[in-house]
Amino acid sequence: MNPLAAFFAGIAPEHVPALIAALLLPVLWWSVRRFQRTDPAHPAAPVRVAGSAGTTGALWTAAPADRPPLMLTERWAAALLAVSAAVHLALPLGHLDGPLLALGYIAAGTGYAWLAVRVRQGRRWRLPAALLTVATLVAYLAIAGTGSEEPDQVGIATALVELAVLGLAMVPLREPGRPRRFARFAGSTATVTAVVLVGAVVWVGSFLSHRSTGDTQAQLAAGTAPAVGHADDHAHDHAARAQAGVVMRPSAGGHHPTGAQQRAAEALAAQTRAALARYQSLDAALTAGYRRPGVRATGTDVHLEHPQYAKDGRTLDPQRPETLVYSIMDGRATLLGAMFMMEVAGRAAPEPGGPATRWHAHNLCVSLLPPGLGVVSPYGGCSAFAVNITSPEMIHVWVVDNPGGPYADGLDEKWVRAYHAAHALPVATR
Amino acid sequence: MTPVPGRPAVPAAAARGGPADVVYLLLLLQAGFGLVAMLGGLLLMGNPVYLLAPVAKAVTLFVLATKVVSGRRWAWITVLVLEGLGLVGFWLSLLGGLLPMLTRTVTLTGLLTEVGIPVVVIYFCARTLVDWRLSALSRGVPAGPPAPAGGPFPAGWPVPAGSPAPAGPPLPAGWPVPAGWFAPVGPAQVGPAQVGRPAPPAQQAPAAPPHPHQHPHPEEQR
Repeated sequence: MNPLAAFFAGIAPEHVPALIAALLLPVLWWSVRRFQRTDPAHPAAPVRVAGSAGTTGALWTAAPADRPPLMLTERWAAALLAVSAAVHLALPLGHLDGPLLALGYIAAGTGYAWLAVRVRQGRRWRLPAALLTVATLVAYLAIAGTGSEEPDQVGIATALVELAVLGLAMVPLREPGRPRRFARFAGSTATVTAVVLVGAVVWVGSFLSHRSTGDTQAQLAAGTAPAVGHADDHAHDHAARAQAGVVMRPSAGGHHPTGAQQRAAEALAAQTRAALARYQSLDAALTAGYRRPGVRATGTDVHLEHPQYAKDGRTLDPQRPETLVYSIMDGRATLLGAMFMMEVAGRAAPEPGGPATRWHAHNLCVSLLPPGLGVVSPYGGCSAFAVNITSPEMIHVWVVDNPGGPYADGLDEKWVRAYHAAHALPVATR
Repeated sequence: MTPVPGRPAVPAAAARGGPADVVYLLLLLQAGFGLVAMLGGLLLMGNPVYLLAPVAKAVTLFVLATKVVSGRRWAWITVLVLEGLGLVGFWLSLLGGLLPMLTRTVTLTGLLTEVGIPVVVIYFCARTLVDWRLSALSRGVPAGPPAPAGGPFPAGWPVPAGSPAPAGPPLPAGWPVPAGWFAPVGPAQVGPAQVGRPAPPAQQAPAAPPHPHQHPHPEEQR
């Protein structure tokens, strides 16, 4: 998947109207200002309105003449509230989940718009803005954090905007002769805490959605998933749109494999299972040239890479899988499956099984100090002294009778431990 | 704090509700982003040593944020350098994505947090430091080589009181962003007495008391 495709894969189709509304807001703002540039009563005389930097007009109702112009923080608050209002008011255009949710969006959007107007008018706004943003964020996290709706880039970006509003509302301004140190410290700490909490819950929600997709994909591969149009549409559409650690290739075509795709997926799984039979013993894999990793060399999902197979130019060849996955614990090993990997990052891989065989990539943070790996956060960044990279596309094919089937995104650790206890073979090579 | 003749004043950027408060908020948000990203490293590596750098960065950002609001020039410069390094890192990772075995996923939120916010912070820092320098020049403080004729900055940039008007026609209102998004630092806002809301246009602004958070410039302290 090329970077442009990956960028748009992070945006849920139902949130596109909201994103367009947010992007059009500055254009609308500029247009209205152009119309209000001069006083209708005195076209030659420019209007001086509070909230404007110079002699241009204001978007909304002008503040009383005796009120001083708005401070920069207030202008920012008004702009951020307006963005959030535009997003929420446009959400029902794409979200057809039900009238109740649509009403909620409209109510939140109206509330944000009303607050933006209040800010522009120089009225009190901090407390209602803090309450509304907290309520909206909690509602979003309740939906996204439980896996009911997967978090996407538009949702997280809107949460970011609301967190900024929350920060502006919670950190009191300094006043002459009144430092308000404690209040500012408390407001600042609360802002940082809110950012961390929202990010963590969005992350959990993204993982939960991903796990449920793994189950759905297994159903697809087995041909037992419900037809398109049923209540599980959202699960089908899942594409790890938070893009926090996993970047899923969007499903091409329909949500269900065709008959030919179904047969191709089954054939690939069977061929892989047959080809990997010779690697049941870890020693056999090591003799064949697979190498144990330098870190995480034991555990329930140890990936052994074959350096030559990784550069042989072959794709999805069951006889030459780039990586084998073992469970290695207590001096014993269990072969779990293979991981096929593209040689070049950003290049699309073949999908013989259609939606049943979806590829994914990992966006990781390579930490330089101290050396190590991390996962890209839902806010799209890495921690200090780390750079963001994305791996080539890959797909797992499991050769064990796991509950998720051969194309599940991952294996349940508890299940792997139980399977390992029953099937593991001793390892001679240390 | 009273203005010291011949010494640069704390710029209007540090005034209440001005760019300093916006930068303060953005630095807080960045501290939060870093702490969330820290969880990703902790999750994968499972070693508390991966807490150190992110926590240190968050604390540094918080301290810098408080110093920026206090009007410390070194804090503005440090923030400018840090944000610049962050932007360079972003572009380097994009370049790294050109390698065959790697790519770089650019997301909407990533653009906002890794490009948008740093650019805004850099913009405010640069404006403030320019304002500082012009203020110093206007007060006769030797602060490096003299500015070239017409000023080193494009026409329409803020010029403190006493400075010669920059050459060239003024930029149209709303350039490069809608007017009012970024507070103009004009003659009326320059100087240490500017604390709180700007005065209404129709009336004369009373002399506001000096702000306790507005520390004098290090040069003034000496």
